[in-house]
Amino acid sequence: MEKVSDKYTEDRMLVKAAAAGDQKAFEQIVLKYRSMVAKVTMGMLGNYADAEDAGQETFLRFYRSLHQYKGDAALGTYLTRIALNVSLNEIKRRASRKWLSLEERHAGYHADRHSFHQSDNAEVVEKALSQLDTKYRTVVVLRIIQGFSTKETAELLGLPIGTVLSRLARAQEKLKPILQKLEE
Amino acid sequence: MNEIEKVLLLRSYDAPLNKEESTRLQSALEKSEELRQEKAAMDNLRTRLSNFETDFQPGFTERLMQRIANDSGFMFQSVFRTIALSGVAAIILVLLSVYFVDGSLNLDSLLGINHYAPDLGLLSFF
Repeated sequence: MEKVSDKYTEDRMLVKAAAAGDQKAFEQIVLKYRSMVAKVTMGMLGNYADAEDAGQETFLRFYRSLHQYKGDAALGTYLTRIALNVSLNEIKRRASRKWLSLEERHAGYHADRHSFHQSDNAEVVEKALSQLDTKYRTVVVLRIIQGFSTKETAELLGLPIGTVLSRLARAQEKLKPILQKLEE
Repeated sequence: MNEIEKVLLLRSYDAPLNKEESTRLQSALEKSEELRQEKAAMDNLRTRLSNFETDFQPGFTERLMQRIANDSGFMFQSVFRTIALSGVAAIILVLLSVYFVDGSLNLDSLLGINHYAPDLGLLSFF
């Protein structure tokens, strides 16, 4: 419990220093939370280039609004919320690009895979997630991949807990055969 | 496999079951091979998902910090632009008000001394 409290205190101090113009403090925040943000943007978007852009946008938005962070939510939760919004905006933007064919979209999903080492599990999970609707992918990323509680997931998404539970159940029902097929 | 027990199994991963539900699920797991297989598949799925580890490409932080450095310059420029535009707007307003009050934009009007004759000041001085 003390460790959690220490972590919050440390985060608040880093944010305070960054807001006062200490770029090293901000860099420390980025180093500390980049993989957490990566899991959200990669889980939501799949494509490395888009996920990295969304990650950069997430931290840039946070940097521009450093003074607005009061420490009410844990920094990880705060950044996850930004990363999720940025990813959802990107998904909407993709959907509006009607001219992009499904094949191109699918090709783009893993376009730059070979330029960066990725574990087999990550590759399989990404492929499986890419086949889920956004609403199901979102709950899986937050609840199962990021490990937020069901209540926290519901709060982050502004949904009732019952809806989160039913979406999780539906998502897992869909994922099971997809994963089995990918594992074969 | 009973549909209610399957729902209970799925829910047990994300929400606490009450005592009755928990007992029912345990008992069903003991009796049904199919439900046990379902649980094994679910365990595998959850483990795979929760072990999902990824990161951005090397150089992510450096690229971000560079963007932030550029962004700070941009923010400074935008603040400067705002101040400059406000200043120009204020000058235009002053000129317009002088023009409407005095009907002219000559130096005397701008200095606010157009109502004074050159010797009037001297007379009042003496």
